[in-house]
Amino acid sequence: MVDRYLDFVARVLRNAGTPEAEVDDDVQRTFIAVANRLDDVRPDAEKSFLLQTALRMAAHARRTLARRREVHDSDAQLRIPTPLQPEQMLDQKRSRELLDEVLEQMSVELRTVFVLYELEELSMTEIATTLRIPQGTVASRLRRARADFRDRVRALSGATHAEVGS
Amino acid sequence: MNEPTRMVHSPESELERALLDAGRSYTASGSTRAKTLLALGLTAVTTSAAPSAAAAAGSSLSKATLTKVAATVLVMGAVAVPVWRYLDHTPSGTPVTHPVASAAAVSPTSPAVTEQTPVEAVPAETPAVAPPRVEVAEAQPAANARSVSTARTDPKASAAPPLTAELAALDSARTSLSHSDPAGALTALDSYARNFPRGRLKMEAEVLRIGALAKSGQTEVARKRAEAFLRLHPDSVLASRVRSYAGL
Repeated sequence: MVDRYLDFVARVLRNAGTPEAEVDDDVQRTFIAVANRLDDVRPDAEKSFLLQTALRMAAHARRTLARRREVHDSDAQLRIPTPLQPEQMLDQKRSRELLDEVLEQMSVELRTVFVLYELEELSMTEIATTLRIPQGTVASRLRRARADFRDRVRALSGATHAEVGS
Repeated sequence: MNEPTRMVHSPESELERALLDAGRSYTASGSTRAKTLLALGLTAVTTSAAPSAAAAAGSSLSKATLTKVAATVLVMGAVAVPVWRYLDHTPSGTPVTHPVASAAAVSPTSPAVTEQTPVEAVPAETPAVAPPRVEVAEAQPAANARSVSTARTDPKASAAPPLTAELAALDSARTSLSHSDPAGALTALDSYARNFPRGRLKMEAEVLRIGALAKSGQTEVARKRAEAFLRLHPDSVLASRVRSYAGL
């Protein structure tokens, strides 16, 4: 299970809001939490169980991060996006940072559906089952999430072009 | 349900594609696997299940692998316990110190959490399922043995009856137990005892028997066997399961 789902769990944690520095620890916590409930998990439900646990971990990490930012409010003011240069477009590290910025600005509900559909390629049915929400709600959230994501990327891109052009 | 094409297949811009690719290509760091296995007490595990076979065989093999690793963990129990205790004093960046306690501490109150109730059981949401920290840590390897799919054959074990046969026997008992069929589990365990009088998984078998006895209503017998087990193996990785089964 570890070998099969390690990257999946790490990716979900990261894209759902766990800071990079805490992914390792939360991957371990996720697997251990699932191990602790192994008797309750159907063999064919391992991935779903891991996913739910990872989302829970990420939610916890987001809350912790938000509290830290409240305490260090000045830090938040310093988090001004660095202008993106054209040649940096495909740089993985920079792309990751920008993705984090975009995802962080999305609401939790939209972000979760977006991550599961667009990045994990879960079906809308799977998402509805995982989140225990109606499929219509998934469809609605996904529609809004995609629009939201696109708007934010456009804004980011526009700001970047403005920076580059000035 | 009619599903829209993923954005990565029709990105609006190169920037959008780059961001989506960054999210989709994220992988665990090189050390995460080792740390996770160590945190689970599963490093140095040696079984006969090849990774590719495990990946191909799906959950049933993975379930069998659980028992395989459980067996190995039993053998290496004396190692696993110090490892866990070592972890208690290991700084950040190494396997987590109080993993289950931390997992249990995750609040289910946020929007993200409330909408993520499990399909079958609530993950990391019921602190009551988490035994005291050290016991939990020690109990993880056996309980989680299903997870490991990397393995080598222990040369010393090759002369003994195939471990897979033992594993299958215990897997049968485990399945019966999980399907609320303690009588079936006891029958499977009796069969195991007959077929493998010197079985390498006797401790695991005893733990399952305690569970089966308890679930079949023979609580006093289960309790006595549990107490005897805990006297003999107070630091076993299986101790918390035994306590849980016997209500101790």
